[in-house]
Amino acid sequence: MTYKGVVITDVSLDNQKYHNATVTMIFEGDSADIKEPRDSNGNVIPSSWCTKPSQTGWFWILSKGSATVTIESGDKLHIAHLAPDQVFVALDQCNGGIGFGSMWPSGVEPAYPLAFTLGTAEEMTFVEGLRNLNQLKNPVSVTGVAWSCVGYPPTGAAQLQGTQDGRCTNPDNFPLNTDVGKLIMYQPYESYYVDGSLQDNHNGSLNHGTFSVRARRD
Amino acid sequence: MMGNGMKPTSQAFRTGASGLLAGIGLLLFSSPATAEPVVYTLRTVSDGKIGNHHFKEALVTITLRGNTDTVEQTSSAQVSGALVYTNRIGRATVTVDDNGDVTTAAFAPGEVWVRYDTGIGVAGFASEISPNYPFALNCINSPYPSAAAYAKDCTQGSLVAANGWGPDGTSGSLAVLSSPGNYLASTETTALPQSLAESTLLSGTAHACADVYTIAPVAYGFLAGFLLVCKSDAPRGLKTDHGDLYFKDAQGGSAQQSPDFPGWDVANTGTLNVEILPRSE
Repeated sequence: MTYKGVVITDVSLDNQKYHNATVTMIFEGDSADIKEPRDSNGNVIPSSWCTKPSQTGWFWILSKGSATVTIESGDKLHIAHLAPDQVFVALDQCNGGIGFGSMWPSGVEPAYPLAFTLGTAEEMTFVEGLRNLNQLKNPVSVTGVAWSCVGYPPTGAAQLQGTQDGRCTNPDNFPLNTDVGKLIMYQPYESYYVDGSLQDNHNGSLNHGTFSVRARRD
Repeated sequence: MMGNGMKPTSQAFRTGASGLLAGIGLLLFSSPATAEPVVYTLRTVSDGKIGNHHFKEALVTITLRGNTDTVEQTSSAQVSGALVYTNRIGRATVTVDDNGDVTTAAFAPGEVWVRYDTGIGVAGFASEISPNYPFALNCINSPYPSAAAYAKDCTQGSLVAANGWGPDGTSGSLAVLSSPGNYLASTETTALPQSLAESTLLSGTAHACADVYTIAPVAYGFLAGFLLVCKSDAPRGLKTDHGDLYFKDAQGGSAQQSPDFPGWDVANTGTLNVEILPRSE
């Protein structure tokens, strides 16, 4: 399958910054490798653990595959192939999120470099997810609020405390390795409460984008 | 990183424009003297038909390539002193990716153009069928001004309730910032140009409807009274070299599974990107 996210945002590649570039993230993998994450005891981790106990949902993750990022800016195209084992595709059924997460020594970042919530992305992951647990295996096209957030969910959610100031952590210390240098995704368009914290874990980002799943054409 | 809730340059310009426009009504301004190549790109997911091909929840990309010297400014019919920017001149194309079945078509000249009403924060592509069709971002999602008087869609932008959620995109945020409320925006957001002649990004919930939307009945519970789906087809197709093109939002605010997932929060959204291109040698 081919998983594609498209967003207009600020990005840095090999120390070159691009403003309002068209960033397309593509992950290619085999749907047979989609897994349910498990805890150290081998138990499936439900995504409801960070929300209401009454809500049941699951994570689905595809980490085996290859990721490519293209950056279109000023009629020029820059292509970067990510080093393996950094980025994964994930679907959080209970919390209504889908996109590309990443793994770091400090832990998992579910909404960095690029994830989507609200919009039909949330409708698909949550509502349709109740009927069909194979979302990452089916072709689909959705839209939603685009997040490139280290520290998600920044304002906390139940057992997750969020960040100290309720904002995403500066991504400069979270560069992704590619064959043409370091890649950093930013989240420039945000909405805050008057106390300075992000509006919330869904509407705090004012950016939007598209996410699609397609059968891979070799 | 914090915005102050106002955009001084925009506000000052509006104040000046308001005085200039007094008593004149709709007025076409002269455009900037410097012409730069520009491409407007709207991305969303929508429903419709192109030629004989019906599509549902397909990736849709509309582009218009032109120059900044053809951007026009008129006064907003909705907000006194605010401006509407349009650019009608350029080569427009549409790409529909229906689960991997991709169609790319060229619009007939003048069939669609880019439009941004800064007063109500609604941006998208317009046509002779409607200023908000085929696509408008950040429309209000309830019948406006009332259910009884709702005769045209998207005559108002998404309103931000004092105690409700804030704006859901940059387009709405820029409009809200002209009347400070409970929400602040990042400096990058408040700095976004609104003239359609500079690089910018406008985002928000997407409407795709030449007619009005249906209104949710009482049976929809907490969503009763909100808009649902596009009521009827456009009176004619948009002319392309792949046949007539229709859009008709079949998703809209129809998702109503629980109060945690209300209709328009899980509707399709979109972006309108304005990118200034380098001059060709």
